[in-house]
Amino acid sequence: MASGRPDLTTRVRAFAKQARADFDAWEMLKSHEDVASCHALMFLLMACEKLCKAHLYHENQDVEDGIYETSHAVTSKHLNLIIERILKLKEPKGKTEQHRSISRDARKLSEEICYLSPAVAGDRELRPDNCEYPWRIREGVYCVPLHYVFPCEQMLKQPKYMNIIKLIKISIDLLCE
Amino acid sequence: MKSRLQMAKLIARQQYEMDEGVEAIYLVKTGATPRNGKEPIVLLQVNREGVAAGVLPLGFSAEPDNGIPFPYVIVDITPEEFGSLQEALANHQPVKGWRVGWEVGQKLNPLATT
Repeated sequence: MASGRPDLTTRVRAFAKQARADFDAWEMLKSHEDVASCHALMFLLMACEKLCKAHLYHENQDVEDGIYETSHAVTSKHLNLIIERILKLKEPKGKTEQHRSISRDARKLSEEICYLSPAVAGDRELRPDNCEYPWRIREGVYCVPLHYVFPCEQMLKQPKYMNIIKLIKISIDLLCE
Repeated sequence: MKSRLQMAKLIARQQYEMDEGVEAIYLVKTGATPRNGKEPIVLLQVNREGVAAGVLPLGFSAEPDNGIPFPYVIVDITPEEFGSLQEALANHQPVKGWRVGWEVGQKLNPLATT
């Protein structure tokens, strides 16, 4: 929660801390019946974007501020890899086939999270859905994110995907330390 | 204590095991002298399931509990991007995101650990 005092920290940790705040906001909003899923999911998307950017700044600490802020592609490219690495860290003795299965699921979930952003490229003819702007269904007919049931939302009802979400949270927490 | 090459092989083996899309992993020669273990190990991962978005090196902290006491970097690119990267490097053309002095080094075998 904001205290009014500036929180001075490194850039990587700053991005991680804001990612955690976004993640906490998603957790709070997703179970609130008066909040539309598009709004809750927007915070999950933002948390994942900042987690990926924290890892990018981690590697290249000399890069100028803002260089990754405009790049939405980084999330789809990197979220899966971050999940794989945290899985290996947390379950080093896990069976290969089990890890591969989680990795496959993580890739599917990462793609769906990325589709929440209107700025992410991809097959937008087939997947125009996003959690921010209405999209055209056909001439004169639009779909409103407010009333849309997102594939990502459906996936997160399954325990296997919620377990992947836990790995994302652990990744964020590790960078906050 | 394991050498940096052994660490690189360990990370590579984990990635081969974990991600079915990984076709090859190369050690990147950074040209830097490792000091106090702070110089990261850099790996180039060619992934057919990856997203083509350019060279975007992703940094990770050391994982002593996972047998990796050095920070490390993974550059995940598609096979097509790898082809373009090799061509650009062969022609001494700059590649956005690829650091000055980096070279594609040894290919790491999926089964090698030492």
